[in-house]
Amino acid sequence: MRVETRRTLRRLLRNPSAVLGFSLLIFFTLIAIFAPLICPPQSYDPYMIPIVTWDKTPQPPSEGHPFGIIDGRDIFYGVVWGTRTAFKVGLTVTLTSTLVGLVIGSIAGYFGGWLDEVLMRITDVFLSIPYILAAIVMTAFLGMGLDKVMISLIIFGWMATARLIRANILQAREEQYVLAAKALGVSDFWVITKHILPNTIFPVLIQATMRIGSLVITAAALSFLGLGAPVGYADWGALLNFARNWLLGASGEALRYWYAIVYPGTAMVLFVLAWNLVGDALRDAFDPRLRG
Amino acid sequence: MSAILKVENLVKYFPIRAGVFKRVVAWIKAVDGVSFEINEGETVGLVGESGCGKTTIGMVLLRLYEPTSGRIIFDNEDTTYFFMPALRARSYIKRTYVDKFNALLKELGSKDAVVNALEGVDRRYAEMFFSEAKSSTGKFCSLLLSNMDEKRKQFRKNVQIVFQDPYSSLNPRLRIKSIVGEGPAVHKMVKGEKELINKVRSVLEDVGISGDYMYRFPHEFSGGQRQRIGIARALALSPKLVIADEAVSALDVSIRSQIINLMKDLQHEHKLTYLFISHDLSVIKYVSDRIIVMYLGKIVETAAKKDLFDNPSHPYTRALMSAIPIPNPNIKKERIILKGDVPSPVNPPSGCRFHTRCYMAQEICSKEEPQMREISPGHWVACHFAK
Amino acid sequence: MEKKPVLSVKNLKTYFYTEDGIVKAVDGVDFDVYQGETLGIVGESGCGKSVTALSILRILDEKGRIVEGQVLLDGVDLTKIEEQDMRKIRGKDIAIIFQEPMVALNPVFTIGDQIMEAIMLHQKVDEKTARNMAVDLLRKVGIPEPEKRIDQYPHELSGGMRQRAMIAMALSCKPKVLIADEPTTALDVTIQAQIMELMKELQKEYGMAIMLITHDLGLIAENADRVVVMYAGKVVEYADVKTLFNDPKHPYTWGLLHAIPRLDIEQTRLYNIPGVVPDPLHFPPGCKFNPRCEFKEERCTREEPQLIEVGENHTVRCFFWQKVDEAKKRKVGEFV
Ligand SMILES: Nc1ncnc2c1ncn2[C@@H]1O[C@H](COP(=O)(O)OP(=O)(O)OP(=O)(O)O)[C@@H](O)[C@H]1O
Ligand SMILES: Nc1ncnc2c1ncn2[C@@H]1O[C@H](COP(=O)(O)OP(=O)(O)O)[C@@H](O)[C@H]1O
Ligand code: SF4
Ligand code: SF4
Ligand SMILES: [Mg+2]
Ligand SMILES: [Mg+2]
Repeated sequence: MRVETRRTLRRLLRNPSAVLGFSLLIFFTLIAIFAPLICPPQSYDPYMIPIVTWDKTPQPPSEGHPFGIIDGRDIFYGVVWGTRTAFKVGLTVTLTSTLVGLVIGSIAGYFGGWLDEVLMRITDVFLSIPYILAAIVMTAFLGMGLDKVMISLIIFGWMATARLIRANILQAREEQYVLAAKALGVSDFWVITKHILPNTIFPVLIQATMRIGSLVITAAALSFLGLGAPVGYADWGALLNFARNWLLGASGEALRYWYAIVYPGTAMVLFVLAWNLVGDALRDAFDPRLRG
Repeated sequence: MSAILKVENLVKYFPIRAGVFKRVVAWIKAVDGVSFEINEGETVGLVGESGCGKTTIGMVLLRLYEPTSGRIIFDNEDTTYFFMPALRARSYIKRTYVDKFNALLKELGSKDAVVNALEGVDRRYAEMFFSEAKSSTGKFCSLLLSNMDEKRKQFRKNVQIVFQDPYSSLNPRLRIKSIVGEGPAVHKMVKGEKELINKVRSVLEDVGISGDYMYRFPHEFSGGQRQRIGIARALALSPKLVIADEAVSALDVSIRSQIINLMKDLQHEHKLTYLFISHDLSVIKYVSDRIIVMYLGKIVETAAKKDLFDNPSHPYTRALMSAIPIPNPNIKKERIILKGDVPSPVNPPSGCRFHTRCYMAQEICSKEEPQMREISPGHWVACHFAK
Repeated sequence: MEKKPVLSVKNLKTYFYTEDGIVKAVDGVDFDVYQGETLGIVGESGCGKSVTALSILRILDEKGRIVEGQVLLDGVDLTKIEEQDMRKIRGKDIAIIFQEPMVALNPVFTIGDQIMEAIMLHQKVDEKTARNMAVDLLRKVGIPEPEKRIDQYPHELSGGMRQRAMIAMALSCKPKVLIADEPTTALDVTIQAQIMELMKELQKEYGMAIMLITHDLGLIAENADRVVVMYAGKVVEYADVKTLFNDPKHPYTWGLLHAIPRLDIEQTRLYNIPGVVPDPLHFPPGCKFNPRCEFKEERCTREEPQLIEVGENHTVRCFFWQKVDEAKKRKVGEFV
C-alpha cells in the first residue's frame, strides 16, 4: 500500500491542474474558516450582509469596501461569507444525496431481482423530471429559504449516484472474492460493507467531488430566481440576484457596474473550477482506466 | 467408501431477458440434468470445454446459484432447500418427500413397508415423517426447516471453493489476516484476536506461506502465492468438500506443479474431498481418482481414471483426448479433428447434443437422446454406439 | 546443405523505461527462423516472448526501446530502417496474430472491411477484387459461408472463427514470416486442434516461416522444428525440437519438462521448480535462474553465463549443464 500511496501522490503532484485545484480549494477553505477575522460580523446573524448605506444604487470599490457596494450592502463581506454558504450548500447536499443514492443503489445492485426493478424504475422517474424545474417546483411548494433549496436539491440529486453505485456493484458482485465471502457464510450486510462498497466507492466519491461545484451553481441559479436565500443573505447567487437589476448599467455605460457581477461571479467560477480539477485529479490518480 | 455428495438430476437454466419489461425470451440451459456422486476422500475431476457448465455446477453445489431443479444430498442430508425462501422450501419438501411417501403408502399398504423400500436419506426422512411427524405435512416441514440458520452455517463451513483467478479472488483492500481469518471469525471458531492470529498463522503455514506475511495486502504477493492464500481461506474452515474451479489454470507452468502438489498433500493431511474442475485433461488425469466428462450441459462419460484413459468410449472423450498436444516429439498421434464450433446452450442440438460434431453420428443420433449406460462396472457412457 | 534464415534476431535487447525503473523485458535474444519452418518460443509469462515479437515489428509503446541488437529480414536490419519503410514491411513481409482476437480486431468494422483494408494497404487492387480476395481467404481458413460471414462484426463470431479471421487477415499478403503469439491460448482444445491443423496446412501451401510463441510445451513438441526456451528475458536454450525434449541441457528446461502433468506417461509426483519467476525490476545477480536452480554453485550467483555450444545447433546458457546430464542418467527413459 505504501508504494501505491507514494506513487499516487507523485502522480497528483506532477499534474499542474491538480495542484491548481488543490491550491484553490485550500484558499477557499482558509477564507471560509477565517471569515470572522477577515470580515467581523456586525449583527447577531453573521450571514446577513450588513447594510452600509441606504442608497440602493451600486457604488464602485472604495476604501473600506474593496469590492464595491450593491443594494446598500458590502460586496466584499458577501463574497467572503458566501464562501461559507457555498461550502455549506455544496457539502451538505452532496453528502446527503450521495448517501441516499448509495443506500438505494446498493440495495438495488446487491439484491437484484424485483427490488432492483422497482428501485430503478423510481430512479428513472426522478431522472425524467428536469432537475432545475423540479427544484423550482419543490421550493415553491416547501417555501423559500436556503434550507428548502437544499432539501429539494437532495431530493432530486441522488439518482446519478444510485445508478453509478448499482452498476459498480453489479460488476463487483461477480468478483470472485465476493463469491468467496458468500461461500464462507458471511452475511449480506458484511458482504456489502466490507467487500463491495470499499471497492466501488471511489468512482462515487469522485463523482460527488465534481458535483459539489456544480451544486453551488444550481443553488445560485435558484437564488438568482429569487427562490433561495432571503434578501441580504451572504450568498454568491443572492449577490448576483441584486446585480441583475443593474446588469445593463446606464445608457452608454454598459459596463459601469461590472464589480457587482465580476467579484461574486469570479468567486463562483473559481469554486466550481476547484472542485472539478480536484475531482479530475482524483480520478486520474486512483484509476487511470477511468479516464476518457 | 460412502458418498459424501450425491447430485440427482441437477438442472440450472439462466433466463435471457429482453425488451422494456425484461421478459424472459429464452433460457440458457447451462446444466441440464446431471447426476453424480463423490465419495469421501476422493478427487473427482470434472472436465469439458468452455461454456459446458462446469463452473455452473460448482456454483450450484456451493449454493451461490439456486438450482432450477434437482436434488443435492451432502453428508447424508438433503441440502437442496437450505437456501430457499420458506414457502419455496415447503413446497419443495412436499413435492419431493410427502407426496412420494403418501403414494408409496397407498401402493405398499404399510408404513414399515414404505420405510423398508427406501434407502439413505429417503429412508431416514420416511421414518421421521411417519413417526415423529405423525404423517402430518406441516409438522414434517417444520422438523426439516427447524434450526435453519445453524444448518446453513454448517453447510457453508463444510463446502468451500478455490477459484481460478488468483488476482480477482482476493479482496484487494483487505490484509491477508482478514481474508484468511474471515471464515473462522464468522463461524466463531476462534475466540478473541489472539486465537484468530494463531489460527491464521497455522493455516498460512500449512499452505507454505510464512505467518509473518499476514499483515500484507494481496498485491504484494505473486500469482502462485495468492493462489496459496485462496486455498488457505478455504482450508481455514476445515471443510469436508473443496470445489477447485480451474484452481491452477491461470498459473505459470512451474508454479502450477507447486500448487497441484500442495493440494494433493493437503488432501492427505486434512482428509479432504475434491471436486476438481478444469478444462485441461492432463491436469485432471494427474489429480483425479474418477473423471466426469461434460459436453454442453450434460455428462457424456464418467469412469475411474484408469478406465477412462484405457478405454475412452464416448466419441467426444476420444476427440478431447486426441486434441491435447503431447509434449513428446517422438510420438506422432492420430488426431481427431472435430468439425465446427460448440453449439449454443440456448438451443442445444436435438437428440444427442454432440451429433453436430460427432464423427460417428448416425441417423438415430439427431432423433433420440442417448441415456447413460454402464458399459463396465463404474464406467458410464451416454452414446448409442458405445461398447 | 546450409539453409539461409529468413529472419535472424541477434542479441536483441528491449528495455522499458517505467516510473519504477528499467524493465529489461528482452535482454539478449538470438535465434534464426527458416523458410517453411516453425520456430517455437516457449517460456513462462513475463519472460519476454511477446516483447520479442513486438520488437521485431517495432510496435512497442512509448516506454519501450530496442537498446541493442539486430533484426535481420533477408539481410536488412529492421532496427535501423525508417519508420515509413517499416510500415511497408508490417503486414506484408511479417504478419502477426495475437492471443486475443477480440482485442486485435476492431469491433466497429466488419471482418470483411478489416481484411480488405489489409489487402488494399499493400496491394494495388480495387475494392471489388479485394472483396473477392477476402472471401477466398475466409474460405481458405475454413469459415463456412464466407460470402455471408464477411459482412459480420467480430462479436458475431465465435472465438475460433475470430482467430480464423485474424489468420485470414495475416495471410492476405502472403507474408514471409508469420508471428503467432499464443494463437490458441484463449481457445478450447478441440478448437485449438482445428486452428493448429489449419496453420500447418497453410504453412505448407505458402511456404512461410512461423514463429510460434506459447507457454504450452505440448504445442511446441507437435508443431515446432526448432525451439527457443526463454527465461527472464534471455534465451537459455536453443535446439531442434527432438534434441530439446529428449536431451534438455539447461536446468530450467529440464525442470519444466518434469513439472507438467502429462497424458503420455504415468506420474506419481510432479517435479517442483522451487520459488517464483523473478520480478523484472529485481533480477538476481549472476545467472537469473540461480535462486531456483538445483544445480547451482557459488559461481552462478556471481557471474552471468553466456550461451555456449553443446552440440550441433544446440546452445545452452549454463555453466554446469553436464550436471543435468548426470541427473538424467539417474532417471533414464523418462522422455524416450
Ligand atoms: N450468471 C449467468 N447468467 C447467464 N448465463 C450464464 C451465467 N453463468 C453461466 N452462464 C452460461 O451457462 C453456460 C455454462 O457456463 P459455465 O460457466 O458453467 O461454463 P464452464 O464449463 O465453467 O466454462 P469455462 O471453462 O469457460 O469456465 C454458458 O453458456 C454460460 O454463458
Ligand atoms: N508496455 C509495457 N510496459 C512496461 N513493461 C512491459 C510492457 N510490456 C511488457 N512488459 C514487461 O516485459 C516483460 C515481458 O513481457 P511479455 O513479453 O509480455 O511476456 P510473455 O512472455 O508472457 O509474452 C514482463 O515483465 C512485462 O511486465
Ligand atoms: S450418440 Fe451418436 S452423435 Fe452422440 S456421441 Fe454417440 S455416435 Fe456421436
Ligand atoms: S548457471 Fe548455475 S544457476 Fe544458472 S542454470 Fe546453470 S547451474 Fe543453474
Ligand atoms: Mg468455468
Ligand atoms: Mg504474451
